[in-house]
Amino acid sequence: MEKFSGDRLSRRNFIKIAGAAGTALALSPGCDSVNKLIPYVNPPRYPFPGEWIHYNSVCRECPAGCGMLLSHRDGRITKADGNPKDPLNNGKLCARGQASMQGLYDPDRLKDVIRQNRGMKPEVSTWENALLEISERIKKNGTRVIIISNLQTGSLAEVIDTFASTAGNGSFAAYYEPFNYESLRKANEMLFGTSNVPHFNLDQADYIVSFAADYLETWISPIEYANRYGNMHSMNNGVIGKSAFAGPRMSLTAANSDTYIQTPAGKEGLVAFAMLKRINEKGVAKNSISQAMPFINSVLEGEKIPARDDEIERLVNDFTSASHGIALAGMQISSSDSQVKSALGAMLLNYSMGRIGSMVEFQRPHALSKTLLNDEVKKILSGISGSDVLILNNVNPVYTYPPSLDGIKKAGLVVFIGTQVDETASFSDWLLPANYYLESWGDYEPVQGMLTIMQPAMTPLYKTLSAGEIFLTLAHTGGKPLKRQPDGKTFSTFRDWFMDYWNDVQRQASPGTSGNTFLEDTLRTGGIWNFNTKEEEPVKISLAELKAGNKTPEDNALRLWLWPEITLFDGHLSNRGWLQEIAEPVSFISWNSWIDIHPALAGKYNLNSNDFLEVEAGNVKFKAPVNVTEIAEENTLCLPFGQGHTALGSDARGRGVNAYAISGVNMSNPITGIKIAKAGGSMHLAYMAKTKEQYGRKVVEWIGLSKLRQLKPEEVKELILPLPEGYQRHRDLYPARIYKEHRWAMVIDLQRCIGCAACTAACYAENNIPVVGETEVQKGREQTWIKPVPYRSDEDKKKLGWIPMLCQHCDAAPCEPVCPVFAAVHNEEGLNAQVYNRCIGTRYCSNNCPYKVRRFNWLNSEFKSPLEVQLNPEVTVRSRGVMEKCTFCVQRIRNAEYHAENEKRKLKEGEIITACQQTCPTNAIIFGDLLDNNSQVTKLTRGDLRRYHLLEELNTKPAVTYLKRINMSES
Amino acid sequence: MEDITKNLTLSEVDKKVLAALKPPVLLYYLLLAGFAFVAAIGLATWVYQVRTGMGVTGLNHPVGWATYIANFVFWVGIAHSGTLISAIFFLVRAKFRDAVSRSAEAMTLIAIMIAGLFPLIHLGRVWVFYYILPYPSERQIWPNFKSALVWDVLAVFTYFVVSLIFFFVGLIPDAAAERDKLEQEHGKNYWRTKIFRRISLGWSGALSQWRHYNRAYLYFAALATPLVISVHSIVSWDFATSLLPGWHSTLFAPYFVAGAIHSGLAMVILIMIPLRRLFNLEEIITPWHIEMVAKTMIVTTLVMAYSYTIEPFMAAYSKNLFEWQFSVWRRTGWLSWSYYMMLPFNAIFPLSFIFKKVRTNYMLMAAISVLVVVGMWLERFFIVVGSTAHDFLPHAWDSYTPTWVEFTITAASFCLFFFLFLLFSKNLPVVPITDFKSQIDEKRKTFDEKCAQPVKIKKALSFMPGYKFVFSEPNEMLKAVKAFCQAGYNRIEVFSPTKIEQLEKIVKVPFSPVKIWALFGAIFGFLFGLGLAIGASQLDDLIVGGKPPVALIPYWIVAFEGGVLFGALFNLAGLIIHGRLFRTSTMHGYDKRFSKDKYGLVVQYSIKDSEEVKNISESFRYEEMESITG
Repeated sequence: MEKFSGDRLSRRNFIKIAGAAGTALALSPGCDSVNKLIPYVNPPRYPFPGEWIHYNSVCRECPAGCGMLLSHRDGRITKADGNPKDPLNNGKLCARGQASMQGLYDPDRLKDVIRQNRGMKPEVSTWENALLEISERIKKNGTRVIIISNLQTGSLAEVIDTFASTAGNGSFAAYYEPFNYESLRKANEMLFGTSNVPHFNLDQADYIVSFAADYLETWISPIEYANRYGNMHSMNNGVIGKSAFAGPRMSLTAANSDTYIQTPAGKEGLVAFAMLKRINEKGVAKNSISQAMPFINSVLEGEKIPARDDEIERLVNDFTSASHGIALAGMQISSSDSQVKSALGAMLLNYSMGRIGSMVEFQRPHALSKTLLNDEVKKILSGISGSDVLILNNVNPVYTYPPSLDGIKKAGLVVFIGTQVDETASFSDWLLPANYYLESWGDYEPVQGMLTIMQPAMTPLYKTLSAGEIFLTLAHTGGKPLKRQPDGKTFSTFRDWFMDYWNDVQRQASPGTSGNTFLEDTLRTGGIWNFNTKEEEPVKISLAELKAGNKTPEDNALRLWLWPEITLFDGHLSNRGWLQEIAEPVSFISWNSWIDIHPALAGKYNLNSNDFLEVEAGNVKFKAPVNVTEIAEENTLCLPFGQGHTALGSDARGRGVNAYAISGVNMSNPITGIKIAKAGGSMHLAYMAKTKEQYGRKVVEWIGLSKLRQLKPEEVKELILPLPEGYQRHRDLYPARIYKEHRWAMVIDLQRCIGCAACTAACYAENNIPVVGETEVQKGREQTWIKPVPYRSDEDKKKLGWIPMLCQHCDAAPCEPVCPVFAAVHNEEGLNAQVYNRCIGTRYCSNNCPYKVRRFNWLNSEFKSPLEVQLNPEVTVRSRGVMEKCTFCVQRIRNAEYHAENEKRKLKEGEIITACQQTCPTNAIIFGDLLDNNSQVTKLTRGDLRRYHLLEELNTKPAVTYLKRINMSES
Repeated sequence: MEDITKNLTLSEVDKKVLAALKPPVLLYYLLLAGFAFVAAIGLATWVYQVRTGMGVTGLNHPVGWATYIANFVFWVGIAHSGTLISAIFFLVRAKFRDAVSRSAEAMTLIAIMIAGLFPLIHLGRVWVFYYILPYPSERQIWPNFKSALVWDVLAVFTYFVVSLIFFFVGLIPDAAAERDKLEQEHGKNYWRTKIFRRISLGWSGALSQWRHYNRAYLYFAALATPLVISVHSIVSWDFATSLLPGWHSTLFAPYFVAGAIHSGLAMVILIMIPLRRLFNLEEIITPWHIEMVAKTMIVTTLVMAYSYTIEPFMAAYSKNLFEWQFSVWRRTGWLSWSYYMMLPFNAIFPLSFIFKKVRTNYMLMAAISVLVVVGMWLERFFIVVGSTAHDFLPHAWDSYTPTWVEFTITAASFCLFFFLFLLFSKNLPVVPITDFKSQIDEKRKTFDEKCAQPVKIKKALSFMPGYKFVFSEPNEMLKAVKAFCQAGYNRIEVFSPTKIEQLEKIVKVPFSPVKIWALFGAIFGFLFGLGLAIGASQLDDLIVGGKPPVALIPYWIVAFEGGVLFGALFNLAGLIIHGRLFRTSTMHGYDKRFSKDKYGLVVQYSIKDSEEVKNISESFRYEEMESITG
């Protein structure tokens, strides 16, 4: 290298130096970032990315109002669980509550303000335009505002009521629910002079008799009842409660009842009256009913009791000897005399045994008491005139009461507030997109005194407003801001109104605390449970003036029984894929309407399952496929509510029959005077099981109560456990598998399992299970990882029991060794793991699985936007061509393990709760570690007298132990 | 036994068989195009299926396997007769094999290729099918050698490779005949001449090649025989090692092997009947040959009938609820139509082959063979679909109907089969000429007097001078060998278009080291397979189904397949190296007539013995004598 000359830098050298310096700079490690994460001194209180946080809320999918615990992560909620602190539902949710996630992320949600003046082409508008135009219209002289809202209490009801009271003359607000328990309330009116829906307190119940009230599925507060039922109906120190059911269709509740009396629809109430008569004869009533005997006799006069005398005797004995027996009755929707009578009978039974006031609490009425009765609905609709502004908040009367359309059309302006473009929305002038309730502040008081609170668990997905906000702003725009009584303060946002409301609550509930702490505490708890409960006077009963009304329909007359399905409920949930895809638990059909028909009746019309039947009821004529089954009484055709939508969304539209259209102007149920004929043609109903027979295979096992009581522990065969001790020289070729830390296992109590499929919905939500649609379910390709499967008893064909089928995590799993690529392997904690990345899709594992719980991805799963936002970030979304199945919620196991490890402690029993276990209303599912001698699973697996393994003779050593159902009729 | 050699000379055999390779007629092209078209549609359908998902098939829960797997088992079954005929009948010296063995072997190869497609077609994620192959990769996960599906891969692969080698080795002398014929007719540089020169690997029919060739061929047959039996046994274990009622049965291996041979033989009959007519091979493939195949089918029919009878008996005898109910369902359920079809098709109609009238009537034979082929397909369908559709838990039971996708792909597989077979039949000799000529020659090669002082024959050297004799009578050639041997000549090379086993009786033919290759290969392969399975499973260290990583019982299968595969590969290597088959040029002193019907003898001598050679040559009759220089 040549020397640099002192004063001159040659061009050559300049380039050399520049090149060297440039290279050195480029390669220099001097500007490395600091590879350390510095923790906050004071961690911020807002959500961390990638961390779960939980918000309490209230489920508003039905009027039951269960407390909810929402899992929030990275700005969105992905899963709804029950709020364990809420005494109503004790941390449980039903399938519908689980599917609230699909309501929130419904691809067909109403996203924009839409203006569509009657029959005009809908066009997107703005909030400003809408509020201005509507308020202008309201301000007009002589304008009456009619607000029909879904059931609301608390702050939102306050806003709505205030809005109505400050609007023009004659304005009013009313709360409408299609399931208004009309017959029960009519009966209460007659008996007790109040049309309230009382709170049925099942906490202490040891005997429940129901007259067509499906209290485990859809009746008033099903999760509350199912939860209490689960406790009552299982063995507690040798004590076990019983239940009975009289009704035309073997509903889920009926099938779970120990005594089921199938009656022609409309005659179930006669059983109650026969019981009353017998109680009076025997003189065992605590409150005399002799005054009511003329009425009782007149009801029974000339009627054939749809039960044998010994059955009645037994019901009477069970009911009167129970320390806390209760009778429930009343269809969710019916003005029929027969239903009113049935409710009268049940309430009289309660009265006769002194249950009014203790177990039937009129002093704590249910929020449903606020809803409109059928006559009131009719009156409102007939009174609508051209000068009226009709504001419909979250109600769909065009679907749930089709005659309402005439009234709605008469209104001068129809404003629709809601989350979905439903049937009613199509006839409205303005469509205002509302927040989903999970995006808003709010509160709900399902039973008087239980004040549950809602908070926005995430920012609204779209430019929507809460209903409260809409009413407040509407009033504000109209120049008459709403004043909150009693002090007449005005609020610019609903949140402020809500806060003020809760300040009032705080002043009454805990005067000593500060408003903010009280609210925070309440938000953390989810509500306050004993608010403002005043001792009301006991209701008075009038027995003398009861009238018998019409006779029940002839025994052999054909009739139609409309019943609400556990998943679709009153039909406003029909656009949720999960609920459509989860089969109705008794018929085990999904995705459609069908008519349950008795084989004898089907035989007369030469009908097979899947054939179309044409039904003519009054002026309505419809066609639906039949399901030939003994579920239905011989002369009763059963049709579920929920389908037959012409709007709402792509999953709901054009599917099945709208049962509301059939119940007609009178909203009667059952419907008599029907004509049926074979329609010709058939379809392929999406049955999820082709048979319910067991063929002697002992899938669902029953054990007689007396036998169980006499059984000694040593008489029960030891199970082949998924532990080293399960490996024996005489039946195993290979040595035992040793577990070091855990061996996860599950126990499922079939006596507790009521088949409600809440577990299925929870699993869909937790594990990103795709909805495959009707045609795929028809092909038997549903993706459910857990489903309660109904089986008939081999001995007693009328007995139905459910067995939740999920991966059994066998120790000697037949699926594993057949996989050529180690996609199915056993992990160190006993889980039968499926490695999606490895799977090449030979499907051999599924063939070889004797429990048939593996699910193959036949096609790419579709999560229509924004449903993908709901996906659990901790669970892989599977592509086409791979096998999947239950993982025992491995992500929850790992989370718990990480936390335990961070805190340098051992995992605690009960720390890991699988999604299905978490939501199971009856606590039928128990998960835990078999290596922990004190865990509940160990105790039950080793010690419970009812334990058995499914297909144990195959020596698969399953980790799921089932506990037999108890056959109470064998006591 | 019928005399099949009447009226035929060696050159006539040559002419007749090789005549089939002449340019085809238009019908041939039409057929070829038709089959290719349907096969192409099948390919397009497969692409559609891969892109959309397996949902386009009729598969469901619980029926995870159906048409595709039935096709797989069916085509593996079809593949069986070829090797059975070539290997087992070779070992038991069943003479009728020679007329049909080449076509049967080609059928084997084509069927096994098609069979191999079906596991791929049925995969949910075919784009990662290679996860199943045992090879070292950065994923460091080896396949699960405990899975019957991996055994399948190994067995089918081994079977394909061994069958291919077997087919190819049998083809070498025939290809040489075609090479020489083409060279005479079209010249050295004709493209087909060039191809056949490559295929024939410089085969000269020389003693120094024959002695290795005969040994190697025997070992191929010996290796292929257990392989034939193992392949379908292993395929049957796909089912038998599961626990489903109807699958979990020890009967399956023999039952499947017999069934495979049954359908394979039916397919042979079905192909032979038109083939001999279309290619004017009536004199080569005589009624007697086909009748012998039909006779063999009587045996397989009886095995099938026995299996069908014993199955329900075992279900009843076991007193197992699942087995018995399943057995009843098979006969009464929605799938029973296939049972009532396959039973007479497979076990009753082919029994009529015991009547000579039936097995000599081509129309009847073809009809029954069609029924057997259909029946055997149905049997596989019945087995595969039945057990999956109707297993332990009644709620999971379902039915199955194939969709157009499965129909199309199945039809395409048959068309692909016929397409490939047509291609084969016009491009390679459909009858093993050499084997056939050897049989004709058998009668003419009666001379087997032992040379008084047997000398050990040495290889002829190209630089040494000598005499070349051409014979048309093999006996004269043998006499000449003896005469030269007696005189102490040891540099002798013999050229023959057929196998000449008598030579070994006359002179001392050196020991062929091929057998050491084969033995070494088999032992090496066995240990390699065992080591691979044990080693790989220890790397993975995964427990499946309660079986520890090293579960020796299933690993014997891997070892066995390794033994056969490497035995065959080493055997081939031995043959190529010792038989000098690594060149394409023929040997010193070779003459084109030697691949047709003439025999040659080259005797080499040092200069002083030249007169003596001439003197000795007086003692036998030769056609030509030629002095060759080194």
